[in-house]
Amino acid sequence: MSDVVAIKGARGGIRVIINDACPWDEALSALQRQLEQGSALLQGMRVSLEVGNRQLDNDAVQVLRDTMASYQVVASTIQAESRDVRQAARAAGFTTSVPVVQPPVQADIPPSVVMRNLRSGQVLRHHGDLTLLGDVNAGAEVIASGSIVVFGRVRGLVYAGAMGDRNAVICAIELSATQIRIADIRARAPEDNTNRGPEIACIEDDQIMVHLWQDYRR
Amino acid sequence: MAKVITVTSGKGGVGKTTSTANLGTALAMLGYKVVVMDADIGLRNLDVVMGLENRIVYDLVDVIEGNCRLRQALIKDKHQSELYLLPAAQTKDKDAVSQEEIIELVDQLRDEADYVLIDSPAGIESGFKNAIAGADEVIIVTTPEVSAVRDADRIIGLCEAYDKGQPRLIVNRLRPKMVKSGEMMSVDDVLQILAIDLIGIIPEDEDVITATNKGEVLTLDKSSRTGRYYTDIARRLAGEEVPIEPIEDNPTLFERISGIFRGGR
Repeated sequence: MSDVVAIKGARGGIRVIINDACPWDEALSALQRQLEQGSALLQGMRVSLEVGNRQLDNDAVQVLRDTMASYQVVASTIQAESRDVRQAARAAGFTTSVPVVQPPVQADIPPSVVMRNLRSGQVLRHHGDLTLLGDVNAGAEVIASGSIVVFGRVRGLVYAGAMGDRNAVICAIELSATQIRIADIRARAPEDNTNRGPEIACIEDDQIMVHLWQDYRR
Repeated sequence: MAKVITVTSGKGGVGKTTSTANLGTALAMLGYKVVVMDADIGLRNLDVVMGLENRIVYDLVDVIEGNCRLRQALIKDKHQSELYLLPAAQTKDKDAVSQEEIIELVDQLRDEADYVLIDSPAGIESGFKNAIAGADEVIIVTTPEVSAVRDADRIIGLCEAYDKGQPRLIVNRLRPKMVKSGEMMSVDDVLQILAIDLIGIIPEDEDVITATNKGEVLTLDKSSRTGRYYTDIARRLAGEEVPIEPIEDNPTLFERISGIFRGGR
């Protein structure tokens, strides 16, 4: 299933790669599942669609665009081998590109280290694991498809495993987030917001559990 | 060449206009030539606070539209000969001017004064963007309340996004008694969240309300404690090293009486 539609990180955005060997409706429903899971991450990012050697007519390109739009995800570029597909894509308002040969060994998604404070209204999105050296203030959001480590104080929203990875974790020096989300599970902060020291949040038995870092290590 | 400083906050009612009027007056009393500009088009207040409403003939939009020359629109203050007000238009709205027009106007003002203080409207929309467009520096006013601090945080983020550097902070309407009893955020609590430099603390003061209603700026009253705090902030703006002292409780009756004997009004 996950082979049909693959999501990969790219410089300054995200690549959505649709397998060109499977039937079209299968590809479409796989895309929908990915969008369903990952819309929070994908919404704000520059998304390029890669359809390989698949043949798509004007209607199919339209369907593709509308499907993404229904999850508020906007793809700017379609990469296709077929000239007809590129033409149809341009007619639907996409920019297009020809696939380039990828280097044979491609490094996995690089982890990212960001050094700044996130203030109210600011959103940081990343495909992969993310380390933030700074505070996440109330009203700010951090969204990543992998785990999130905050070397600072978290008072805003953190969302790890945004593409459905339930093994993702959230660590912070001070985890006083208004809400945390891992994959499809969310948790609200307890009302008493005293700082207990560094903590780690992860999924256990379909629930988000928050542990003191020193307890978790044992 | 004047330094252009925008006073803003995000949230309304925290004291932008009061602070602009008092800082403008304080800088003028220190001997600088100052223009205070009201960028709150459609909801102007600065003229009322300074008691200059009845002298308005032309406004900021008139200057931009070319209905008058800049100097015709500058209103001289009642008390300070080196303080001028450029009022906002009341019958227009924020869309009456563009950022480019404001930047051009501000550049003209630079030749007229040592300091240009811009009173920003509340919010994060076009009015706010216009107000900071021409600024060299931004001052954020907040009260020690969660909502005001949250909005200030948003504004600081926007100032960074617009390359205005890091703003400096005025914590306004602080009540030392409530801080002491744990009912109000302390200045340290605010600074911990916002992580920017503090330029001054202003205590809650009923005299601000009476002064505003009379159209008299409190800093003119040399016996006013709040006025002195504003003067200290003005000194810091001018580059002087003035330590920020923690605010104690309201002056006692004895202090008030001795204040009268020291030559206050």
